[in-house]
Amino acid sequence: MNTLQKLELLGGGTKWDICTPTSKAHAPKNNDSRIGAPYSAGVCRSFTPDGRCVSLLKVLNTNACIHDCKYCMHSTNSKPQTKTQFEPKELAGLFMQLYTRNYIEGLFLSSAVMGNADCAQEKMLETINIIRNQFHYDGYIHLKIMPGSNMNHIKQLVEISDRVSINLESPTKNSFSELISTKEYKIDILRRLRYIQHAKQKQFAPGGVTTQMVVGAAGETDLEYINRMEKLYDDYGVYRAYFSAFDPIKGSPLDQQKGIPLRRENFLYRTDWLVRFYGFEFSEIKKIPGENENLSLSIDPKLALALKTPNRFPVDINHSTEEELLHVPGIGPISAKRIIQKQYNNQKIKNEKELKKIGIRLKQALPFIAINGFSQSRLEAFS
Amino acid sequence: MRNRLRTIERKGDSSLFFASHQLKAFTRFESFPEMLLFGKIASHASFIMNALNFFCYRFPPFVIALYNTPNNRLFVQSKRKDFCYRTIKDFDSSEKALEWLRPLVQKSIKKRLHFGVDWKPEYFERFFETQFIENRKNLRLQKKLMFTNLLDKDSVEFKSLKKFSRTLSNTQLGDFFFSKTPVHTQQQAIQTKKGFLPKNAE
Repeated sequence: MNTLQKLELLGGGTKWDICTPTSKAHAPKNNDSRIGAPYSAGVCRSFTPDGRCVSLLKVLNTNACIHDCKYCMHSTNSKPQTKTQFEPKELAGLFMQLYTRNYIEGLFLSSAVMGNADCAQEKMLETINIIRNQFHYDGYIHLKIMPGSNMNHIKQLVEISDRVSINLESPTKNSFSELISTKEYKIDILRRLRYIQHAKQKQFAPGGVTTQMVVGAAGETDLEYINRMEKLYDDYGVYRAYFSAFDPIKGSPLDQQKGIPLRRENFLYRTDWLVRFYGFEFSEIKKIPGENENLSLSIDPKLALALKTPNRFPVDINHSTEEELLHVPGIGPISAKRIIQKQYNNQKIKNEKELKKIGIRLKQALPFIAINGFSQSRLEAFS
Repeated sequence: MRNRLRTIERKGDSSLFFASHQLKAFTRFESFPEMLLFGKIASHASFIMNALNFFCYRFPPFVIALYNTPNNRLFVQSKRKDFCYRTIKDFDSSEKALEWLRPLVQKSIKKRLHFGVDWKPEYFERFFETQFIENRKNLRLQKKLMFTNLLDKDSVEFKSLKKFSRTLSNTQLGDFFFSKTPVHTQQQAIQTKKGFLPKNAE
């Protein structure tokens, strides 16, 4: 099998893996012979017809796997496929060829587990060692940690990469065991996350540790994802959790199951953003899901929370804190900052036009704010 | 208590956070064994100088040459110590610019870097095609982020825009009258010379 055919098979195997390059890469060594200084922010090179940017070369080392993940096309239960693997030199050379031609900005390397996890990790290490030491590449590399890898390998991978990730796949142990029988949730996944946390020091993997979960493959609720996010961020020091709405893959054991609407994935990301960018507490976020423990797919999570906590509103736009402003639907971190700046400068906001200039979404925000003591009346007031 | 306001401040400040996902300028290099990276670009001179600095910083062992197609001007720069050459020169075509530059670089740089894999343009094309998930098709987003005027018309991205936008059939007058019938039945109906009525409505 030639390199082109391998690229087609092993590149296609990673299309459901979500990763974005980060500007938080390690500092380059001050040496003119090294390629790929990751300091300067680049531009995304290309966009696929689904609107996602192709800025990293995303490939698997091999697609031969011993695990039986029901949603995966490479699992032992899936329809047999042509199995192949990249030789470390071949993959390293291919990556450098693409990189020097400015097609990509970095490498995302994952693998199926052929033999055992350590075997897969050794192959990955070999490839990265060639790229870093033989080709003097200093740029962005994101590596996937295999479930069940040993501490020594994890340490080496963390030292050599800019970001590492391990796929959690499911928020709870029960749903995980429904999907996969060959992996142990606590031992193979959570313990490895703990190992990564120990191995990671300030200078290593500056892009942090990320994880990915499949949404709704085993009937998980949104509240379970939110609870898991809280544990990941607070206890395991995970930088970011990615979600991927379950999409049945042809030939996999779950190919007859119905897919999950993308809006659900989108709304989970929105709740994640409320925590990471808006500074919301997880205790607040947990109030958003309804009785069935799922987020409503018709109301934005921030608006849903605002409707559930009417005592917080209306917020006086000229005398409120940044935290209070961030809770108002239609006000984001940048516009909240601008309002606070106006407060510092003793400039009072007198009308809606000024708010619009700041960049607030008036339609969403007006029912929850007061300008000069006046707020928009609600329908309930007339009943 | 969780206090993430500092992070918010940092991220809110960063204009690059939004800009990095937008394609502001576009060039792809042709790599030559003489450690020369040659790319075509269509932009303003001031921007090209910045781009040159950026690429020299990113590829220090290479000589970077950007050929600005609107005014046929070649910009050359390198961070190498044995090729301290920084120039701007006008040419008739990119081929002539290469003819002039390649021997010059060949003379100066003796040490080469081999990656062990021969280059084929199909590598990226095939990889690009594998990354697309059909259920998530969002051409509007692709068009918004990817400026078509900066793209080479033979590139795989440009072709993909054309290819997938063609699959969306235009709404025809018949669609409003027979909305419940499938589109292909309506098209058949239009083809028959019996007006806009589908076959089964007779």
